[in-house]
Amino acid sequence: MKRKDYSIVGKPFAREDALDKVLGKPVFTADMIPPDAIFAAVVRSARPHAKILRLNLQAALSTPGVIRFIDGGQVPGINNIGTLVRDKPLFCQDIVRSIGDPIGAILAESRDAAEEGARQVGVEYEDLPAIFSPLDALDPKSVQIHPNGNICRHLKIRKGDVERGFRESDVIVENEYTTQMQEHAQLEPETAFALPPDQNGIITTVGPWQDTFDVQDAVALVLGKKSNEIRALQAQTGGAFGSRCNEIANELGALVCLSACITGKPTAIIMSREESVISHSKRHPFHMKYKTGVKRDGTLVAEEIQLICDTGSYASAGPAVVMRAIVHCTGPYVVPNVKADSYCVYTNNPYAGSFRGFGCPQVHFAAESQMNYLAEALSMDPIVLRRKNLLRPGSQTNTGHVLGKSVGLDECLSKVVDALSSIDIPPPEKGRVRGVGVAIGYHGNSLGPEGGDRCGALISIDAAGRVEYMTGLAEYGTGARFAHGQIIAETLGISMNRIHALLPDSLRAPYSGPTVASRSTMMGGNAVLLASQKLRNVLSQEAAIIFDCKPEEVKFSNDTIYCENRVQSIKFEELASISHKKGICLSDSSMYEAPKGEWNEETGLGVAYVDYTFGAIGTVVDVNLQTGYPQVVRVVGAFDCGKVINPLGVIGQVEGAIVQGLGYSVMEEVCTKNGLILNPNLADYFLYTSAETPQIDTILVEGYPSSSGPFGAKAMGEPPIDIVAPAVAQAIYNATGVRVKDLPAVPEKILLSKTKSGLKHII
Amino acid sequence: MSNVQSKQRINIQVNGEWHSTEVEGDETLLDLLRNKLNLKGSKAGCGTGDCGACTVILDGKIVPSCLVYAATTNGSEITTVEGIGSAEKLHPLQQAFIQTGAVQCGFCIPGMIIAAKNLLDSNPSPTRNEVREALVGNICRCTGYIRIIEAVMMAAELMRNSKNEA
Amino acid sequence: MRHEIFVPRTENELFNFLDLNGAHSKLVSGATDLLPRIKRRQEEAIILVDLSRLGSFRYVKSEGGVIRVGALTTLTDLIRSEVLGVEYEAIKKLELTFASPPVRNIATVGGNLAASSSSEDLIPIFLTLDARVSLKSARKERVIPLVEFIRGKRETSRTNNEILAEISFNELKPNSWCTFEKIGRRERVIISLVSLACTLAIDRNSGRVGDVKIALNRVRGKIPERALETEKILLGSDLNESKLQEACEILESELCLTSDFRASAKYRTEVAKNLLRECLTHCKHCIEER
Repeated sequence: MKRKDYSIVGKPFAREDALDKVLGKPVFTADMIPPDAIFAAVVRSARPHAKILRLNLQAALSTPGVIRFIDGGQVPGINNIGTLVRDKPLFCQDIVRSIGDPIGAILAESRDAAEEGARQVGVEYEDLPAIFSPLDALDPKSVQIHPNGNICRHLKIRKGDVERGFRESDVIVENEYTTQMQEHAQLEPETAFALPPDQNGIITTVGPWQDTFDVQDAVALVLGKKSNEIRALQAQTGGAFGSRCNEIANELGALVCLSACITGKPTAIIMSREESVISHSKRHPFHMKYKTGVKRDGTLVAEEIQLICDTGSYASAGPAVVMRAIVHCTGPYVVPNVKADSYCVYTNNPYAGSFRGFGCPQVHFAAESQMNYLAEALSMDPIVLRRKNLLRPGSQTNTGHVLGKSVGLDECLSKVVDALSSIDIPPPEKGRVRGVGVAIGYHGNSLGPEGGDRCGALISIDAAGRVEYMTGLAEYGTGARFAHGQIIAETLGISMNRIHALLPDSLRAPYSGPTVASRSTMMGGNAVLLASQKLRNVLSQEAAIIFDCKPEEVKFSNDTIYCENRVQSIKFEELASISHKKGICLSDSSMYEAPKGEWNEETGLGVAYVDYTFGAIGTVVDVNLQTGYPQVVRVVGAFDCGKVINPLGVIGQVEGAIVQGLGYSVMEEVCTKNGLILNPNLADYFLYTSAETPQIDTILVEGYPSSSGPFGAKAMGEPPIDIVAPAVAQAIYNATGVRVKDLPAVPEKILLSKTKSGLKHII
Repeated sequence: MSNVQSKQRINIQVNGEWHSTEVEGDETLLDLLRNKLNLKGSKAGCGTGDCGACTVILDGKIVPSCLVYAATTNGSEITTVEGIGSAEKLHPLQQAFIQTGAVQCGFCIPGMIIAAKNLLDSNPSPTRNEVREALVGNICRCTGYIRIIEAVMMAAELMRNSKNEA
Repeated sequence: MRHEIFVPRTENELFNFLDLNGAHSKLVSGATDLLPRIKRRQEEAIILVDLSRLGSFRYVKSEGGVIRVGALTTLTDLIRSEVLGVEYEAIKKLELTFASPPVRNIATVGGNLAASSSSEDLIPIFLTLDARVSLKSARKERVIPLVEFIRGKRETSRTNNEILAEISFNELKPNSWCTFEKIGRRERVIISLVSLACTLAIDRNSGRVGDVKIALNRVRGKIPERALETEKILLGSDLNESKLQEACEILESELCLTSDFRASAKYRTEVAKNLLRECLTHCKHCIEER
């Protein structure tokens, strides 16, 4: 569509599903469990690395209400639910590789009975040597956790000549950084249910899935059935952030479906918060080594980077996380010489997988911290240093990708700097010191080299002019589904109240891939755009007949269809009705395939992502001198978002991502000891509450439209979370002189920290 | 004389309606509401009183219903999200939450609305800070709270205006 | 369900029941601590005795120079009680430090004290008020100092047929102030890394410390206690800078803290010293302002 003022796209609209949610309607999975369902409870490993010698089921089976126990022996198909790598059993039979690994499940009349029965199952283990540090895992003499060794994936970038680059550098800075394991803490704990096969043999499973197709395929594999014998339906989902497209979704789907098949009864599982934390994936902890060389005038010359990513006991999304991480590892800068290695490594820690940001928060923390070290070494303003090197239209990225016009990074940085200079906040309280920090970043849109990237949409107009649409993309709060509705409304020139979204049904929805990588707006948006354009053409043909004009002269606007140069017009529902009566089909589906760049996995060079979202964040932090507590008092963010489809939706995503990023920066940490999670709850795992959350000013920079997103829209769900931590760390440094290189920047690290001049207590 | 028994009969008023129901020993109020009275609006988020998704109003005070034994609520008056407004006539809070974009995944929303209503019932003109403090027991992982605080401020204004008009 | 529940409506019902069944009962009121433990199978009570209906134990009153707080008073009611003036700042501050609004509406003073070593707020505060607890059974009532009530990790002096009925302390004299600080990883709804309560009385004539009581959530190991050596050094002083410095050093030597996954002993000690200084200075300032 030509650039113009849109009537629906770009305007704020309330989400269609908000009504049910504010009324407390029973739309979440646990609200809809059939009253006659039996319950499953999983028996999980108590050891981090061990052989399973034997199970003692006597006490469990005599627990009142318990029906039976199931394990790998009852799996008719393949006992595996791994996503990218088929390395994770549904039920471990010989070896457990982390605390929490499923060994089997108790089926019982009630949830209480199932959980009691599961507790009564006795497991005898023979401990194996266990590894809890990915650095140990790299040692070839260490125990090998999987048959193919401890290195799950190794990727490289080899660009230019870093040795020559370092010789040409005037200043070289070397540092090591670590980032912690972060927990999704999505508010709805995992849950699922399944119905036994219906008269056509179709097994239906309902859950908070992020990828109904993956669940469908995983269940089919486990049951030894065909994919199209499984129907996976997504219920309203209480947050996800990546947890629900990893193995736990397949595990629960397969478990309840298996039970429904074996027992012939609907089966449900509801997890406690504790089990939720223990059983689903986490954000990968990274150990990062950076060596950066720069010229006296601030030009970046060379960068040597090593990323070690602890994927825990199973690969999960690890192989893709290290890929995205290495592509973004230098930060959004022109770096002529790059030698980077990223390793995805197994340990016996809890497994890590998808989490909003997907490797970008980790590497941006390191890359942006490096820039701050360099600025100090050069006695240069960190903003000036960034301006000297940041990516602009036509720049070449660290993978040799020459960018097009859609690069709004400089403007984002300027907007943040301007906002910070005119910021109006009361001075810090007594006993606190204030610092300001800025960070910039980028985030490749959609899957890029991570996998096949296509998405379908189905749209149907009924005779009353009501439009229903379905993609297979999940909606778990992001608002993407409703942005799709706006795109349809814009294309067909109709009002939003005609549009109705259908929840994904894996058997009905055209293949859409996973709802990850902030790809919903781009992929789903393009799919619905194509489908609605097709329907618009069909309607145009009909209208042309009615108006006796050419189809290209037909216009759609304000629920009315009319012809340029003619006086007649017809209401949308009238045209729909006429078309239906004539037997014209007003349903269509479209498949959108993302443009793919050429990216060489061996050298890491090429076009990894066709489009990038760029952004900048500034934070103001007041540090309490008595306790080291870093209070973030203001955040301002500017994002090059291409085109805003729904301002309410986008701002909600930006704010939510930033607050998760704040938690990542200063308080969230899954603490483990020998593979055991010490804080699997919300009492000892600290999320931001309404009290800590500062004012967040969001600036949406349009004007650099994506080459592939609908209406030029770029991905926005993840970019903001990528750069919060380095901005906060820089603010803490400016306030106190303390550099935090290991996230999270908790009060203790700030209070008891070495500065360059030695041990320093900041009071 | 109440004896020790694993089942007891209690009478409670929920959203204006009296119910007589049997409850088990360690059945929580949340269990009772969701499983026996089929009111699914209040959510189970953590089981330890840390997330606020189960917040209801019990005898005029907000409580974490996952930590209240149902057997202790005999004779009590309870309000859940289902008792606040309806599709035909939304409570100003519900209206405001929809309009400001404060609803993303929706799981925290019933608890938020209950806590906010409880605040506005006793403090019709709260400051933003007072709203923050009142909602400190309600975790939201999606929105970052900002739209939610806006929604409560907007609802407070709507309620003050309609009171003035009345 | 594994547990039975008994909800007594009168004190008589309660005590008669406890005489018979106290050994295998667990008392609850506002089960904020117990219920999650039961769910995690960390408690094996067979019978729960829920006290929340016993209104007779819910009060805050001032009688003959003594403040009496019924054990079933909720945290909300304690914080908002008008019987306690501004000088009981420590108690007012519980609104900022103790859990969240819904939890404060059901958590009780007695329930928190009975959790013994896990009480990060009330026990330190009441220790500095030299509080006493009243333990009541069917036949008698005995009053013991709070410091004797706390025995160890989740252990108190309460016997099976008793309930903690009341906590009481002498009213603060004029020229006194009681404050409290609790530090965690975020601002609200925190698990304490360090809690410090301080009650200070300034002698009107000399302007020097007439009385001072300092308590932390952990002094030796993980039990809330008074920092007695630190108190001794401060008595009679004018809280000048060198005295404060000396007090911090004594406190450091008095503390024997442990490290755990939440924080190191070193951090806790450093913060404790900083809080001590802050609280003493603050109390003195508030007393002088009045």
